[in-house]
Amino acid sequence: MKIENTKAQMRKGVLEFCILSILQHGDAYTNEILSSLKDAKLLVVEGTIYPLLTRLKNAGLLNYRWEESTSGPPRKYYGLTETGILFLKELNTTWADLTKAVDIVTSKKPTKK
Amino acid sequence: MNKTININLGGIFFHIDEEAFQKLKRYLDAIRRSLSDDPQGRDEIIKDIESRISELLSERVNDPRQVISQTDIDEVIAIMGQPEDYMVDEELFTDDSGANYRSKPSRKKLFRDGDDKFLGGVASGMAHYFDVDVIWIRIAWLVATFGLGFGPVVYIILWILLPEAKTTADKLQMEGEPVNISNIEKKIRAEFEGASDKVKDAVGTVSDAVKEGYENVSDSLKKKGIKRSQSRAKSGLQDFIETIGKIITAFFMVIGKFIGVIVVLVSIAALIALVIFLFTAGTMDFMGADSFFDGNIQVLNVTGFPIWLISLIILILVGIPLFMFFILGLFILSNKPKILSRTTKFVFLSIWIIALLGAIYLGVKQGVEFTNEGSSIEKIDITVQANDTINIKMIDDEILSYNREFNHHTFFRKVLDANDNTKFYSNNIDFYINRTDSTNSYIKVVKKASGRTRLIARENAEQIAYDFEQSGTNLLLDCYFLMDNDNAFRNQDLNITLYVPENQIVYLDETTRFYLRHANTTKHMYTGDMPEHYFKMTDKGLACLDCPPPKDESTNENEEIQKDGVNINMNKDSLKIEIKDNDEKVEIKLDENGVVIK
Repeated sequence: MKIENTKAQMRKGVLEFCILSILQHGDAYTNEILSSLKDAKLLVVEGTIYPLLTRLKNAGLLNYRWEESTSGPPRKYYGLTETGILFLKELNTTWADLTKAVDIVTSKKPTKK
Repeated sequence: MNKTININLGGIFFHIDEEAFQKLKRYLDAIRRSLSDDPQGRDEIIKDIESRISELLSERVNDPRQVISQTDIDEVIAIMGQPEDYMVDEELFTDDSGANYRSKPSRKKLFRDGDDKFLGGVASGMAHYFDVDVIWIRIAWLVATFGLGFGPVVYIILWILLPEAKTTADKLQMEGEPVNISNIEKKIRAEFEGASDKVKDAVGTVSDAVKEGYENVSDSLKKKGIKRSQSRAKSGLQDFIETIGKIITAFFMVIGKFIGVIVVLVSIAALIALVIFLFTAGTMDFMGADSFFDGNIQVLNVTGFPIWLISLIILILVGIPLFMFFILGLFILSNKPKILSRTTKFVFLSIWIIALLGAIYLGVKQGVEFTNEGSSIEKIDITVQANDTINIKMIDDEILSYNREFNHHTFFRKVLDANDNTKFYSNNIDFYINRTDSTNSYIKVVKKASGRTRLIARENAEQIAYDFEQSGTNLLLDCYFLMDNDNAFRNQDLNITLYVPENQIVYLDETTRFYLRHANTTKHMYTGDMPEHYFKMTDKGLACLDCPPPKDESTNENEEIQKDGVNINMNKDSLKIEIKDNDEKVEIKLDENGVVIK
């Protein structure tokens, strides 16, 4: 089992959650989502995000609109739908539970019987 | 220096280097393939990616005239990630046990390897499957063919049933490598590099092929199950038939080449022979091919043209067609459409026609010399006593006939006479014996020759020098005649006829055997049997005086007829009939004892 693969899987797993989280503060254009994720070192290469965005959109969690740009062609702005907001709320609680649980498990010192 | 291409990427215009363009195109195609099958979602994602790449590129372009290079594309790919990074692994999100999602079991599949084939690629495909060197498989096939005999049948069945590894995915499966994007990319790149090394200009073509390769991958990955194997089996059969066709074509090609080689060799040999023959014509006896004239080709030439000119004309007349044959042979061997230019062919044709006209002129001139035949006749009496025997001998001149075989026709041979003058020697003499009503024996010498006119022909005939003498009862006839050098060959011919009255006895010497053409004999003897015998002239021809009496055939007449299994044997005393039909046999015997049937 390669460590790189495990890392990628972990990151990919939380990526959808992160995208939704970014969008809860307001609509964002792909580049903004990308830069937030890259700043947080959650994303190594940009390519990964596009299929994810389309997936989320197709699942009805996101929608987008076209907005004119001062430089170049129009841009796609993504925003959360109603279901998206509910979905995110649920994920938030799950995540909080999960981190707590993982914290407990990983920080626990092995006890001898 | 590179070509550039103008592209519209995500709504922005770019100048892009051709190689960079190909790279970008490959990259986008690879992503397209790595994405899920849903075409709508895929197109949308690709669109997003394209516009992102266009953004990244426009950050790099400061001047609209600047050209996007390969480095730019490399950097963009580094940011965007490899095609695998685009994969949304459904298992990861739908299945909680998707930990080993990348490692698909790489099962080997049995294909035919079209890249390393001798006939259909069955052996190399098997070699990949069993992971041994292909030579062992081929040896096994040979053993199966020549040792055990079932090889060809099994081979053809496998050929038809096994699909050929056409796409890159197939090839990877055949070699047992996991079919994933990076392996396909690697394999295609290897093929691509191999090809681009060979032909640099063909970059565009090759990249098309690469593109095609990608499309094949996706297409064939889509096809599944029975439908797939059916189409493969069909293509296997087609391939088999095509290869058979190719083998037949190759067979005929080989035959064609073989004919080409033969044509080339024969025409070269004929050309060389022709040249040697013409250069040596008249100077040496060319391989005895001209024994009648003992190498004196010149004497045939009565046109007055120098022999070299005639040789040249013959060389051109025969040589050019031979040369053309040679070129034809080369054409068959090389398949080059134009070995000779139009002008060259035209020049050759013109020269050939000129030579043909020359040859026609010479031929006519030569022919004219032989149009008329003339003769000169001499009659000389022979005085002998009534009871004497005329002894006929043919005499040769030992010096002139030097090296001549006695029973050998020499029509025209250059010799030197006693006065060292050049003469032509011929022994083309016919000797006859006839009966005459006059009381004296006499000899008639008829000299014949051809010429332009009857008069010239007769003059030519008179030029023939012939001698004979009578000494006592011996008649000594020269067995040759001589012609002058300047008289050349004019079909000269000489007949001697000896006329003898009835009751005159003649003896034919052994030396006459070769020259005696005809003589009437009472017993219709063959002229070859006549020499060394005495003959007496009668009113019915020559009667042999000392010939052994012929066997009286009537005393032992025994006639036998054999036809279609019927055998009839008949003589004075008996008749025997045998009839055979396959194994059955009937025999009827009729003789003094009566009739016996067995």
